[in-house]
Amino acid sequence: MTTKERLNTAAIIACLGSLPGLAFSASNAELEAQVKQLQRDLAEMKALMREITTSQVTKKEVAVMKKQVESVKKTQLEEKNAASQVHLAGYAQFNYTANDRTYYEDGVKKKKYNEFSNSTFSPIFHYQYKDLLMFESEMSMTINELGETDTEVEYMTADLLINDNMTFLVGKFLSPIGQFRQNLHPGWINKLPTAPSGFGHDQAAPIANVGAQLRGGFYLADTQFNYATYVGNGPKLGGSHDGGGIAIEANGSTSNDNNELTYGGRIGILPVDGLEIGLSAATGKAALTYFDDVENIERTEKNRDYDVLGADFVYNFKKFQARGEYISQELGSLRTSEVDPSRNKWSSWYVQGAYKFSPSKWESVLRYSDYDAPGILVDQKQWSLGLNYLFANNIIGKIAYDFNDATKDTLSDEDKITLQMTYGF
Amino acid sequence: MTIYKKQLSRIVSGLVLTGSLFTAGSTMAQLFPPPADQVVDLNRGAKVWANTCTRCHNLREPSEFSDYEWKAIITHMRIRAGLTGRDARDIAAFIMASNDPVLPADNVSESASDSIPDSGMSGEQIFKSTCISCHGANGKGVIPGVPDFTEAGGRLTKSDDILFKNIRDGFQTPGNAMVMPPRGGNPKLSDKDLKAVLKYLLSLFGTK
Repeated sequence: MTTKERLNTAAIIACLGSLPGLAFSASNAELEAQVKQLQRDLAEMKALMREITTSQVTKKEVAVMKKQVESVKKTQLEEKNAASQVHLAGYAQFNYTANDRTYYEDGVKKKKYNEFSNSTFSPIFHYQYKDLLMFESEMSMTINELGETDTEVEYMTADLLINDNMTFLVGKFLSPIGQFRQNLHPGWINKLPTAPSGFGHDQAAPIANVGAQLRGGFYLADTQFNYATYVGNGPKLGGSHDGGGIAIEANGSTSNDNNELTYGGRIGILPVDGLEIGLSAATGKAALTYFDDVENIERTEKNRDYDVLGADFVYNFKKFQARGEYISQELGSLRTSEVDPSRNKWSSWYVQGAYKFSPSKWESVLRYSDYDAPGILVDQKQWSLGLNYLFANNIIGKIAYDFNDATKDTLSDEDKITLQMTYGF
Repeated sequence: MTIYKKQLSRIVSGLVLTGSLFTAGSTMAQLFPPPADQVVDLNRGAKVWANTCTRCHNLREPSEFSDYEWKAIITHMRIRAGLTGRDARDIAAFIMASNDPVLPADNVSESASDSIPDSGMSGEQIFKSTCISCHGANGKGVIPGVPDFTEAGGRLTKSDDILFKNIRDGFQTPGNAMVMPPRGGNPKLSDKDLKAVLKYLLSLFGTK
């Protein structure tokens, strides 16, 4: 007999057992009231029994639950112990630039308007096999002036974790010369919405390279070091007979037009908490490809000396961060060059200070940068003053004013305000 | 110029050689789980995490990602930031101990550590073995985001029950990426141990 049946029987017996006594001691009306009360009590007891029955877990249900738990556990363990895993990270940034200006380019008067100037989405794909290999790739997708989508592989490497102190990687990698291009350019990391002057594409700082790299970290007497050495293809040079000089593109390509590759690297030391100092260098050859208007053919001037130097530091002290960087790319002279036989040098440096007004979410930034390049038209000195609001550490709204000083009436000389919304995920 | 370039080549070669020498005797890279002969040091991980990541970017909250995601993120950052395998393992230990969800406990005296035996250490010993790496010997905090215990009207002015609960269950100041994991990251500490270290903290830095 179940608990429910036992309770029902007890209730009925209790009802019946009380009736004879009631017959002698009470009137019919009282008896009727008592019977009704007993009926109500019985109904309540039945309801209570139903509730108990429905809320009780049966052995069968426990068995089903056990199976479900085991299934979830198995799935979780499979995921945790899987040799392969994939992961998606990345960032996005959206800019509005207020630079309603008239300027001159090659002697031609032009007009620049306020505009939503940049929409970039850069997903980063990671595939990891055990603790042996990581494949990673960042794709940059940008909307251009015509409304079309430009896509670019920022980097794409297979990283072999050799041991605790060394990783070998091959593919297209961000240049380890300096810090900005390799680690600081994503919107949610860069504390200003603009890059320092000279650290953009085709300027003083090499962007990327295609080749192989050894990198890692080690400790000497409790002092932390990190290093990166690489070998890769040299930069591409462009130019023409019109006297416009040589343009440099160190963006990483899969061809080499010279007798030797480019070798380089960076070593960083962290002598005390919060401070890192880095030194970088690279050397190799570069080739200049141009179109010969006279002969109507494409020509290449090969094996021009190519040297890169860099130095950087960052220091964090409580809510304050200071950082700075110098970088230069230099081309040796080439007596036989028909485009530009002289030595060419692109150099830039910046110093930046940032202060967080925590616990509020505001942060202020001040930066000075100076870019020098062959030909005075692109030289620029820039003060940048910025204010950031950190909705979260990876979701940031920025506003910055760039005070630019360059050749008068060129776009590089015009001040501008930039607003940016950016996030990293 | 030729001499200059030769010097550069030598520097690069030297870097490779140095790296090779320092790594010749190292174990194969292994992040999860760590090699059997190595013990992960969660407190060291917290310090390396705070010092290393802020070189470039704002700290991401441990609770932002699951252990599964952190595994790939830490491997990526190990390569990018030039961390050692040990750094990565210690950081992973700290992060993964810090991103567990804290379940609400209505009763602050309720203990989930009845089964944890007391360590037998004094409050001072526990502080110096577990807490000091983040909070510092002077209680002012040695890494970004760690509160200053000596500050007037600061963290230690909360009630003992609240402070005990924060140590036991872990604590994160709203808007601050730094997290103190449950039991300061040492799951071997019993409730009695936590009370002992709290008493020591209050005697040393308490201002209430």
